[in-house]
Amino acid sequence: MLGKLIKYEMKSSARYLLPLYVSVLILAVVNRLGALWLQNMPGSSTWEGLLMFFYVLLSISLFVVTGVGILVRFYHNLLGQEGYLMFTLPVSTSANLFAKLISAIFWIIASMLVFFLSVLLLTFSSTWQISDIIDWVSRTFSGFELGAVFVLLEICLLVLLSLASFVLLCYLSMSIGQLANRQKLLLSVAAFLALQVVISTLSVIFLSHNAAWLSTSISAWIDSMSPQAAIHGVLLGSCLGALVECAILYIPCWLLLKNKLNLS
Amino acid sequence: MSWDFQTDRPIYSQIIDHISQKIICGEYMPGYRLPSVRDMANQAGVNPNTMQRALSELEKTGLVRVERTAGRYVTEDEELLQQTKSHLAEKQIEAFFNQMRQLGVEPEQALALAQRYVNEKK
Amino acid sequence: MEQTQNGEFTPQTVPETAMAPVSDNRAEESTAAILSCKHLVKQYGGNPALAGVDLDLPSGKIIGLLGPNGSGKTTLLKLACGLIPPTSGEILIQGLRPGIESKKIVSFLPEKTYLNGWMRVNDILAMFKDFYADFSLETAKEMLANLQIDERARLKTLSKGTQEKVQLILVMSRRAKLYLLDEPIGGVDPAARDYILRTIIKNYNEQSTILISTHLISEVEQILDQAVFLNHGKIVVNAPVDVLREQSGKSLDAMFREVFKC
Repeated sequence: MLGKLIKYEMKSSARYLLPLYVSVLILAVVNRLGALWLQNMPGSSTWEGLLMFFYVLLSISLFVVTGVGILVRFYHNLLGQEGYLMFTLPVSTSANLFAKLISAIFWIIASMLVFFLSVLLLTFSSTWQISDIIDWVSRTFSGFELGAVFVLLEICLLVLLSLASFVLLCYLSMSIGQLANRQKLLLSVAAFLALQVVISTLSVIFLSHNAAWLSTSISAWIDSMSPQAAIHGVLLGSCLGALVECAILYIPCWLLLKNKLNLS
Repeated sequence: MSWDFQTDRPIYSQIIDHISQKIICGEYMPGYRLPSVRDMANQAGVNPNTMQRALSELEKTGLVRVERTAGRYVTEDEELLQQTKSHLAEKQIEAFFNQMRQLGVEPEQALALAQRYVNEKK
Repeated sequence: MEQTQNGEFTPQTVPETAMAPVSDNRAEESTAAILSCKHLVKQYGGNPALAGVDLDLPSGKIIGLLGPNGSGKTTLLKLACGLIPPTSGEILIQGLRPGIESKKIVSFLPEKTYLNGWMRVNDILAMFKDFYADFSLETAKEMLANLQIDERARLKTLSKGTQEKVQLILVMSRRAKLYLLDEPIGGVDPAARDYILRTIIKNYNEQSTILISTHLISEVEQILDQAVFLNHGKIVVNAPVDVLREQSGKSLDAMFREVFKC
């Protein structure tokens, strides 16, 4: 059932995100071609400027729309009228939550990849050759050991978990906001800010109390290992921390949707 | 497009009256096979349970008979049909005389008026 | 409420004729109730939306859940759908607590549209088929064809009345055990009302129960087997409709007005 939910979630978001992503890529290409063809024509700088302006605009909207879209999808589909459908489907509350979360992370990463790709297209030079690319890849990665691949994976995992925890923070804020009968949006924003404050405060308190103990034990631990292992240790430790943060945000969100769903 | 019902009386008894009428006046001929409960309920615009109850009651009166697997049929018992017709007609006559009495017209007077009406129509 | 000499309470506003014995249902107690509530309470803050509901609904009936706004009808439906948990007491659907399994056998039609306007009709058909094993695609397509609704149309482009019909078709094309319809004919033109009531009758079957929650009693009373009157979160009447009519000589609508006189 989770798979089906994810499928429908992706379909609904793709409807407005794919056209945007494709437009960004097309505009990047147009810009590149424009730069090539209009090079020596009079007034070309205004055209180029205009094209670049639209490209930048679209690129910014790429991230904005992806982000806002994630929030709106959650709000509209689970907490609005569509909630009557989603929560009467024979699926668990966690399935609904995970479908939204997974889809959100997917689109965030997709938006970054699309942007990266658009930059490549923008700066694409015909002098580039496949052999050049292969050379660059092998040179960059030749100095790395197997451990480096794992480090890369761990960094990716950390990024994913951090994204997840931020998205969950937004979901939790909205879940708190929907408790109100009026001004749900206002309460969501207030909850978001409040949660940020609480999290920062707790982190500061935790760190300040345990700073000495933590730094000595962590440095002792690191010293006892080789540099590579230490890096792994730090990264995995951070991943664990991010995972815990996700769990701390997920659980109240799940509880609120399960027990305090306030559909109009 | 459903049959007309009044909601201040039980619907099943109104259905009984309605079907009895159709049988008596010949709209449902003797031996005619009635549609299924569901179809009749659909025609009448009522709950199949209500239609079921009405048909069960009709079976008791004998106007409708049930053949286990074949379905429900209008009775071919001429005597019963005549009896029921007379009975219903008598009820209408009773209602007529009651109405007349309410207008202040006594039964003998009402009878005379009725006879005059019939003669005129000839 | 007045207290009799035995210490029993009788609600003053309910005419004696309405407290009819549920004679027909006694015989069916042997079959499992489709919906069963025991001392069901739901409180929002200090307000009890449902103040102790005891109910056993048999299968194979079309039942009206009648009451004024704020009487707790929607809360009861939400509890049966598993959208909210009870504060205390129990609610069971064919013996199941509200959850994934109960949702498989309950088909809910909310008052307002709950579908994404951008979806096409056939997309929604596919979605229902995907999630509900008891969804009959043929039945739905047939009903849509009868109403000449274009399957490729996006819901947004259809009129409000047509959207409501589509939703009804979706809900009634499921072979569920319990159908919960919240104000199915509110705000709809008379012709559409007719169609909706006929669709409800057509989908009646002995294994399932249709619970219609409404305040438009005169329109639906013709098709109801049983009536449950809800007021201030409590059941005040629960009886077969024809019995109520026989005993009071009134229509359900008239009885309702009397019971809920302000």
